[in-house]
Parts: sequence; C-alpha cells; structure tokens
Amino acid sequence: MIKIIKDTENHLLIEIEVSEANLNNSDLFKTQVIQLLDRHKKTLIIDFNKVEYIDSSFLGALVAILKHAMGMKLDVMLVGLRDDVHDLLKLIRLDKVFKIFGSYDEAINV
Amino acid sequence: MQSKQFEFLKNSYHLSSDTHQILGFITDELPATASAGELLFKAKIIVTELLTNSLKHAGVNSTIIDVKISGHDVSILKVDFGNPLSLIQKNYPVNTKIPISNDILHTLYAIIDSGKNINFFCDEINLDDILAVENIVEHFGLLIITKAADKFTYHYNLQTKENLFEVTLKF
Repeated sequence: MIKIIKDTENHLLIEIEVSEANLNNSDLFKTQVIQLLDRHKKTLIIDFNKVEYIDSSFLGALVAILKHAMGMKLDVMLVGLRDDVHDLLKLIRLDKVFKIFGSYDEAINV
Repeated sequence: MQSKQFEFLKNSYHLSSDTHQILGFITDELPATASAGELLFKAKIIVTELLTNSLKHAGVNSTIIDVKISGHDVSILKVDFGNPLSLIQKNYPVNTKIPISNDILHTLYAIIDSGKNINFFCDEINLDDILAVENIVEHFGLLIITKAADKFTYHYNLQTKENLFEVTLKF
C-alpha cells in the first residue's frame, strides 16, 4: 500500500503503491500512515506519482491523516499529483488545506 | 438521443473498469463538436462516486446506471434498492434550504421540491487566513457530485422502493 522512500532527520517521504486510491484501500492507507506518524513523529511527504485516480473515501482518509498530524504539530505535504487527482482536490478545495508541490525536491526546498 | 443501461452486481464491482465502461460509451456517443476533456473528467468522478455510494451503503445488491446523451446534456441516472437517504424520512418543508454538512470550505444543502425531489447545492465559504483543519468534514461523496454536476437530484420511489440519483452534465 505504502512504501518508505526516504527517512531523514526532518521528514519522511512515502509513496502510495496503488494506481486506484479508493474505498478498497482507504482504511488500510489511513491506518498505516497514522502508525508511521506516531512512530516517526516527522513531517510527512506523500508521493502520489503512481496514483491515477482518487475517490471520496481516500480523500476522507487523507483529511483524517492531516488532522492527526496537525494534532501532533506536524505537516503533511502532497507531491507528484497527476492532473485528474489535482483537479479533484481543487474541485472540493482541499488544495486550500494541503501543502501541494510538483515534486519532492520542491517540497523540501520551501 | 443515445442511451445505454449498465448493471453492476455488488459482489463483482470493479470500480475502475466499471467506470471506464460508462466513460467509453459517453466518449463514443458525444458529438464531435463537444469539448470532451472537462466533461469526461466530471463524468468519471461522478460515476465513481455513485458506484462507491452503492458499495458503502447497506441493502444494495445491484446498481443500474442509465446514461442518456441528448441535445447538450449527458444524463446519468443511478438506480438501486438500498436504504433511502434519511432526508426522505423527515418532514422537511418544501423549497427550503436544508443544511447537510458545513465546514470551513463548504456548506452542502438540499432543497426538496413539491414533487419530493431532493436537489443538492453547495456554497463555498470565504476562507480566513488560518484554516481550522479539525473542522473539515471527511465525507466528500455528495459534495463531489454536487460540485461536478450541473444538476444533481435524488428521488425515492415509495412504491418501488427505488433510490434514483440523477445527474446532468451540460456540454
């Protein structure tokens, strides 16, 4: 479901390993990512480059993860979003609450 | 008018391929003059959310999606026999805004007309500089359909016990 790509002093980069991020995997994604936040206590950068489509269930999981992270005073950044995924986030204005970057390099150079 | 009906059984749902079947029909039947890109994006997220809604809710064993293309409209009708929306069971006044959800980004509301059709709308909230993320809702299905559609209506047929979700997209 997710793979840790990089674990630095300040942040954790993870990649979503599925192309369809939907009801079938949203609960597992939320559980795994919240466990990572609790264990590593670092800013989380989530790479979406393999995700071709995301549905409302997965968006709900992402918001739950963001709330959990903010409760721990941690950031969640999204990188590598395809146009359809980015457009859906923009449609329901989640681009106003998530920090979204084109790439991992852009995210860490903010 | 072009139309086609698709039936999906709950135990054999494959969200991605089921959605692509419907999008394939719309792509093939859309007039060449129509601008397909944005319409197909909206149709894709709407069909996905309609099917996800059936998967999530109890009592739905099969779902019918009926697609019609006529004039400048694509109409997507979802029919299932699941439990009706709770809005139906309450005696709300006609033609009055009924808030369904409210957070720092949107207010989603319904208006019931005299024919007992429930029409969905949403307002965007002006954002403050500092967002109270803890108040954001985690259920986006109805909101996505409402924002993507030009018209989104729900009707419950008391006689047949059918839930009818009808979405119109204009091109």
